Amino acid sequence: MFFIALAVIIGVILFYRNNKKIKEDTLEAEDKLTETGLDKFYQKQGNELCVNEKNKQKQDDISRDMLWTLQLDGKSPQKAEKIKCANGEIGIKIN
Amino acid sequence: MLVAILILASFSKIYAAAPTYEPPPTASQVLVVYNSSYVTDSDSDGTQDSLEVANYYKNKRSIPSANILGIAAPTTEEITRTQYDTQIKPAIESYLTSSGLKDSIKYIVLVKGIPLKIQATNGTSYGTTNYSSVDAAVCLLYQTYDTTWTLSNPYFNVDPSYTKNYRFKTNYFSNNGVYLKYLVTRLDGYTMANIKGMIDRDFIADTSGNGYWILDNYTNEPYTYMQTASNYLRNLRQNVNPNPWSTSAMITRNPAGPVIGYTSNGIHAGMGDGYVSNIPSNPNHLNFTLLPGAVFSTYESFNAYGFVNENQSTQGQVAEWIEIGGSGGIGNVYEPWSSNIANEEIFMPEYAVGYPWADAAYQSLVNMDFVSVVVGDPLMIIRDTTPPAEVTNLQATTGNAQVSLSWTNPGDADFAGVEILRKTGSYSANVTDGTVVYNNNGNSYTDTGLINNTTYYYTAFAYDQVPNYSAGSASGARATVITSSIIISDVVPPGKPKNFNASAGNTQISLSWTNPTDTDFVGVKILRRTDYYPISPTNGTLVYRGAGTSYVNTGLQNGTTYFYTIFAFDRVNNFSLTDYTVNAPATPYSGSPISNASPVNPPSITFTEPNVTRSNNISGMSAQVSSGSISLSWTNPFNDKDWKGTRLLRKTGSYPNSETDGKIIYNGLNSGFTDTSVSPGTTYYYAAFAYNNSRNYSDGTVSGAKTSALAQ
Repeated sequence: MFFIALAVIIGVILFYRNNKKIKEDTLEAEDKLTETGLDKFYQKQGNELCVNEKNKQKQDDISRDMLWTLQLDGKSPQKAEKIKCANGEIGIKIN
Repeated sequence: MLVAILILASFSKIYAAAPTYEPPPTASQVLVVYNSSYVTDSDSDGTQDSLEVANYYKNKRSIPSANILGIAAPTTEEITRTQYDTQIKPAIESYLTSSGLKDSIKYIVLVKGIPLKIQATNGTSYGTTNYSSVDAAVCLLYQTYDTTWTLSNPYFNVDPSYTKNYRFKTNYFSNNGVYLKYLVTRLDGYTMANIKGMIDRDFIADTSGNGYWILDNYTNEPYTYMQTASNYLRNLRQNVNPNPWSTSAMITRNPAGPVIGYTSNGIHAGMGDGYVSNIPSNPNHLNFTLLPGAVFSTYESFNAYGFVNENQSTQGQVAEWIEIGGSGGIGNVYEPWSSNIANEEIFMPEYAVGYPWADAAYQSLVNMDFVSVVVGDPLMIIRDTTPPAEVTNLQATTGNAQVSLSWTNPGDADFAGVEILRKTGSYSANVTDGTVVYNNNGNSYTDTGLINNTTYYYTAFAYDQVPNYSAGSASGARATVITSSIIISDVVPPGKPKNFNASAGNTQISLSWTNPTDTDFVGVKILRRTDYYPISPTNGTLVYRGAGTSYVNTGLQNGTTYFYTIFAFDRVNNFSLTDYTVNAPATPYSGSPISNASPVNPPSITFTEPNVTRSNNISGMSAQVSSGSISLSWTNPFNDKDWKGTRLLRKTGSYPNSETDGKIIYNGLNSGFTDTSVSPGTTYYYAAFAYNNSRNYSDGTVSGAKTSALAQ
């Protein structure tokens, strides 16, 4: 019983810490994107940054450029990926 | 739903760029621009570097002298927008206009000494900056446009099916009213030796198709297209490295073979400064054997930062690639983000299938008027672009709702097949213009399921293994026919041989004759007997069969009279008629000539005097002129029961005055013919001569049997 309770507590702590890290990384990514002027092209949904553009090609291009900007800033590429957002737009997700 | 799909399809058709069908470019379509104010003479040969590169390239590619332009431009690599607008743009535009080259030039080559980049006046923020390469600006000459940020490139990815039907054409590709006027490339490098070496290699680019494409994605980067490029290239049977594709960490230094193209993440993959080098001071240096024609593009922001020396940037440089034996590259002079880096999944396969380097490179750029620079000879091609010779002797014979086609294939070593297209109204201009009825490597085919009483035009395009298609414009590669439910087989014999003569010698007789001029004439058959003249092509001993005009019959008996008859025959073994004009006797002798004996017991069939009654004339001949062709029509003498066909002749200067006076362009039963082998501005004189069973031709010089027309 004790071990089950301990595992649950550790799991909650890890989940909390992971969520906190993602939030911090997202804020950090947003700082960089704002610095380069990319902030005006996306809408934030949690840790997803979805591009507001009618043209799909532009959505794709801007998403690539956002990932590129983060990589040039030294972000680990594994922490951000291109996604299709819930509204169908293309964007990036910070993990 | 269906309606929506149809609407979308129709819109995509409207907005998709139509093929240009431009032929491979030529040297006269290139303008070379050098900087006359550039005084540096780095190799101390007495000629300033900019002019020297221009002249070297001009001589290598045989560029016309009128296509070399010197402008007095700033001598720095980086200039202001004002300097570009006042010292570069108007100078090039002015020359293109005054020289009359404005619309014929496709490519502009900027050589060492021409400034490289235009600095921003409004910062470098994404989506607002107005910096640019000089090259990208020159692409849009003669136009005013918003220089802030980018303009979508209308030439981007226009040929995803690799048809090569989209070779660049000026004043053709536009977006929101802005035309991609010219494709601009640059001949630049750190040293004169580097630049000249590049020009030399570009001229002899490797066309074997055996080079390796290096796609060095060190991990799964979501902003590159290397995996797609790998798939596309392998589908085109190109060599790729790595193969199979892998997303695991890699830095390719020793590929499986010589290299024709390269992309990587460069220093972002940890390769280190100076990796584009053959010198092992950097452990990650590219230890490549580069084939002539090898090109470069990397995911590095400043890989065309400058062309002065290696110390200008720590990133991999196009100029370094040229230094180690590369032949071209695509780079960025300022921050491009990733979307403005050349798409490797486009330029690599398009270049591989045979697009000129400039065409392949610009098809891979998403935007115009930004930071890209394409380095290298725009005419460089790494695939054979020479089509096989034309198909010859294409014949179309009508049948009931069908047409029988036959032709002769060219003898080119790389000939792969022939594609025959059918069309109504005109011949097919290219392999997408009409219905493909045949696509293989045979030499005959029957096209069925046709509509009777319809004129069909057939065009044959020979192709090689690339494939390059012949133009299909030669007269032997075209045929027209009117289908008919009434099948008229060829029963018309060829004309009789003339001047048949037999001359006796010692145990031999020399025969000579003149062949008839029928278009379907195949040869003659000569038979002999010792009792009388052979009366049919099987009535006697065969002496000769062939298309010659003389023969010596040896091994004969002196003192014996030999009676010869000669028959001409056509493709379907119709034999010419016999009368006394195709008979000849001779008696071999030793010593004095011996008189010929008389025929003995000839068959009851006796030869009559030849029929010399002329055929009636055709009537109502008229001509209709179109661009590149003259269509003739007439009425055949159907009321003449002996009429067998009509021969149409053409001349320049005057009308044909007999059935042998001029070029025979048609012979048959039709009432019309389209002459497509005409030169605009030339007046052609036509006359048609009808003929009967006995090959007696009509006068042909009367009104209604002739006409003339000025070709357009």
